[in-house]
Formats: sequence, structure tokens, C-alpha cells
Amino acid sequence: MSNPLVKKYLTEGLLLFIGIALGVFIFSWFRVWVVGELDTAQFRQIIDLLPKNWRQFASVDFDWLVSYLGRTSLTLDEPMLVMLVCAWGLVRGSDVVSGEMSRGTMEMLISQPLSRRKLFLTHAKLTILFLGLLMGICWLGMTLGIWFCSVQESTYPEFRIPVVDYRIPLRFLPAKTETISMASEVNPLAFLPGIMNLFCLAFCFSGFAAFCSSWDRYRWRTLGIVATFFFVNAGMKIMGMGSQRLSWVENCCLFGLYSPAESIEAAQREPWSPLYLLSYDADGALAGLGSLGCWLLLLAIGVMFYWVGMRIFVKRDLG
Amino acid sequence: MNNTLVQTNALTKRFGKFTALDQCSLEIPQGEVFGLLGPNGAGKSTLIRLLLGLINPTSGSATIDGLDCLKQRVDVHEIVSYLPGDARLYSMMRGRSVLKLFCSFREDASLKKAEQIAERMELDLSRWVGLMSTGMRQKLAIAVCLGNEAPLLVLDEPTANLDPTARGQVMQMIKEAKSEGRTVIFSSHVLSEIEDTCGQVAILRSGQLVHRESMENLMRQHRIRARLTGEMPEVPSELVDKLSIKLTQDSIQIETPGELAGVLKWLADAPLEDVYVQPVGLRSVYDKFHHESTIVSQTEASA
Repeated sequence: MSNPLVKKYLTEGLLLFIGIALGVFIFSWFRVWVVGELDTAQFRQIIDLLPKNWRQFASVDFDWLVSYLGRTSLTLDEPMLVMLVCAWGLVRGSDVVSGEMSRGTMEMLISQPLSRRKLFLTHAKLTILFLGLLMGICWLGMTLGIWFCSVQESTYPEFRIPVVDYRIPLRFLPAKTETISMASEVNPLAFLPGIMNLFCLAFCFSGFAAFCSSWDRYRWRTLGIVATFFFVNAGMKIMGMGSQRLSWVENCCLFGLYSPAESIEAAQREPWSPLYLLSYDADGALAGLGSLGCWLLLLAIGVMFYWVGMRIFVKRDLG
Repeated sequence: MNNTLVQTNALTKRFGKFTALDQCSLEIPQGEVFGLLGPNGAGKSTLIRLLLGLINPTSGSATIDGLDCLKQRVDVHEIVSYLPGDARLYSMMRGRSVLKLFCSFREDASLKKAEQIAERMELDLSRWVGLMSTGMRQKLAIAVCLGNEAPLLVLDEPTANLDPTARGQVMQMIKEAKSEGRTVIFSSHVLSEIEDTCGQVAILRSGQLVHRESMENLMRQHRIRARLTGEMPEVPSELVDKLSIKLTQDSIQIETPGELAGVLKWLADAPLEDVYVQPVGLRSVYDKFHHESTIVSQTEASA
């Protein structure tokens, strides 16, 4: 009985999905290609020119950041990509109740022998399933970008001190340029913790959108609310990063649980770190939530939004 | 034998301070075509939505075939086919796809039957819903609603926006549904449609069920109009409580509840000219509750 419902929701969301999927795929590939255009030595020179206090905007070590893995990992921090992926969750989530009501089709649909719970959950399952697909496409875009991208590395002849095996680059001599495949520098599997983090964030936003949709009756208003919520959260993150005094603000927003580059870096250092609920600093003091902790919290908030939204939808007046 | 299909018990719905339906108690027998009459905002659609479980009652209860309309609404929807007053369908789909979609929701639905209904109303199913006129969309919604074997049809103003030919077809289909033993609840502003199809009618006013009448009973009621040429003889005692008389200086209007024999006997010797006898019709009953000033009771007239 729910198959026609699945087909209906698929039909409704297909164009949007294709559009977003194309955007995500092209952007991911393009972003990796851009990284390949700038060799590491040049990038380090640029980074060194940045004011020191800019480092506070980065949640990861700058030395790791200049590596190819670090720079490609930043793809997942790009606002463009985050917005594209979250747009899927926000737009589809906001459609489930207020979308149908705005179009006037809810009364006809809900008077069929379908439970409201099934209707809501079918919609949610498809939104989440396709969100997972988007993540796959994002990863694929980055992977293909890495496979088909070659980078030019400039290396200077080095003077080696024999006993201590210390190498000094001789920068006054002409640099030797060699072309290497980016795949030899970056393992695409390393992105998975970051991809998972993005999935959890978008899931959480889709849950919020479904929650707002469940009590509203106008789609435009729901979209306005969820878009505002998204940008307020993003703004809080920037505010928290920008000011030491307001750093607590970052912990009060959903983006505070989103740090893909950090989780990728941590996984590089410690392969099991994505499975840690908590993270500790170098002194062993508790630093905050670990990658798994962030994912689970985002998922839990998303599930709570979905659950409350479903309860509201089941109980509310329609028509 | 109790053959009540729909039952409401003091059903009430308030939206804030506004009472949309107030203490509505109703029983609708199986196999009946039941008309709901009332002006806009009288509570017809609210009553229907409560029966479908689309909105929650403030108090009271409703059952269909013994099933609680709120708690067992999915089971209720298995046996009810509903046409909303403002039926809107998916504009990004073609007519046939909409029929397929809605037929796939119900086990008792038949795409073939739905297509036949659309054909009867001369609806082009290959057209995108978004490009259909209001009347065409209404026809499509009717095909969706009638393209199944649900034992109860709930139609909220089904003929609104339809051309006369399609209206006739819809009325015919309602009669066919009755002949198949299906129950129909039918709300309309068009009195003649209710008169033609319904076995019983309920009149709502400001959220209250103010009158219920069987059409058979209504058809027995007559109105007698005449010009008065002298003084009217006294009303026989057995008719005093039954008649509604409006008396002016030179005319008289009498409404009878049923049997005419006694009235005609009384009037035979009365000084009357230009006597007209006509069935009361639904219009009079409707007006009685919505424009009370048009008919004055005997007591009021004498006062």
C-alpha cells in the first residue's frame, strides 16, 4: 500500500534531487581540481602570509591543512556544498505536511486508507535515503576528482647533512617540477568521517524542517523559518569562532557539531578516532565530543525533531 | 434491526471561540442518500471532516459502521470515499496518473471504473492537472471518489463548478450508488439536487442541526394560497396544531404537514378565490430556518 506513496514522493522530489546531485557532484570534483592547481609549496607560502589570528577560524592544524588531504578535506567545509546538501533536507522536509496543505492536496490524500504515521515516515525515509545518496555522490565527486587530478610538485635540490640526516632545501637553485597523481597523495576513504558528519548535519536540518512543516499550513512560511534557522546556526558558528569571548555560542548551535576536517584529521592521526564519543586534548583533558559523539548527537536531535513532528501531524487538525 | 451506518453523538467542534459545530447528534441509515443543507459556514464541511477524522472533535463522538471516526480513522477510510469541497489534485501529474495513484491506495478501487466515470463526464485524462480548468479538476476528483466500491460516499458539494451535463451525470451516479445499496452523504447549496436525490435531509444553521426531514414526508406537505373574499371560518380544533397559517386582509397562505383531506373539507365552505395548492418543497423548509420572517406561525399572525 505504501508503494504508490513512495512513487508519488519520488516523482515529486526527483527533479530537485537531480539538480542538487549534479551541483554536489560538480562542486566536489571542481573543488578537488582547484586544490590540484596549487601545489603544496605555493599554498604554504600563501598560508604563511595570512594573519596569525586567522588560524582561530580553522579547527585543524594549519600544517595538516596545507597537505593535499587537508585541502581537499576542506571541500566538506565549503558553505556552497553544505548549503546544497542541507537544501535537500530543508526543502523536502518542509514539504511533508505544509507543502501538501499549501497545494490543497492534503485533504484528498489523507482521506485515503493511509495512516498519517505511514505517510510521514515514508516521506522521511525517502528524504533520508536520498540524503545518503547525495553523500555518496559527494564522495564520488571527490574521489573521481582525486583519481583524475594530477598535481605539479616543485621540489628544490637539498643539501643533506650526513650524520644527523637533516635536509636543507636550496631555494636559491631552480626548482624541479614533477607531475604526480593526486591519488598517490590522498586516499578517498579518508573523507568518510567528514562525509558522515555532513550527513548527520543535513539529517538534523531535515528533521527540523519536517517538524516545522508538521504544524504549519503554509509552505512559504515553513521554508522561511527553516532557512532562517539554518543561517542563524551558521552565523552562530562564525560568531563563536571569531570571538574568544563568544566562543560558547559555537557550542549552542548545530554547526558546533559539524567539523568534518577535524574528524578527518583525527582519523589520520588515530584510525579509530571516528568511533570515539569524546575527544581529549594532548594533556588528556576532555576537549569535547568526539566524532561519533557529534554524529550521534546530531542524529538524536534529528530523530527527536522527526518524532515530535510525527506526533503533531498525527494529532493535528487537517483540512 | 439496527441499520444505522453513521452516528454522531453531541458532536462539537470549536475553533478558539468560534463554534463551528454544536452538539450535533445524527443517525444515518445504511443505503440512504442523506443531504446536508445550510449556507456557507453552517458547519456542513466541519461535520464531514469530523466524520472523516480529519479534524478532532472538541467533544462528542462519531462512528461509521461502529468504527470510531477519530481513533479508527484508517479503518473508516477503508469504507468511505470522500470528495472534498475544494478538491485539488497534483498539478504536475496527468489526469490518468492521478486516477492510477488514488486507485492504488484503495483495495476496492478500479482504474477501469474511474476511467469510465471520467469518460461519462467527457474528461480528457491525458491533460496535465495544472492545465485543467476548475470544472475539469472537479470532474477528475469525482472520478477518483467514485471509482471504487466504498459502501459510504461522502460528497461535499460535488456539483460545484460543473456544467449542466456533468451535473446531471453526477446526480445520475449518486442515484446509481443508492441503487447498489451504497450510502451517500451529500452536501449542496442546490436545493433541487437534494430534492431529486436524497431520501433524508438535515439542515444546519450556525453550527447547529436545526431540522431533519425525510423527503417522503416533505413531499406530503403542501402550501395553499388563496384570495380572501370574506371572513375565514374558525380553524377546526383537530387542525389547529397542525397548520401554519399566514393571514392578511385579503389573502391567506396555509401550510399543511401532510394529509390534505381535512384541510380541503374546512376550506370548501371558506370564502376563497384563486386557490392554488402546491407541494411545499425544500425551499420553504430551508427558508423557514434561514429566513424565518418569510413564514409566520399562526400564533404570530394572530398576535
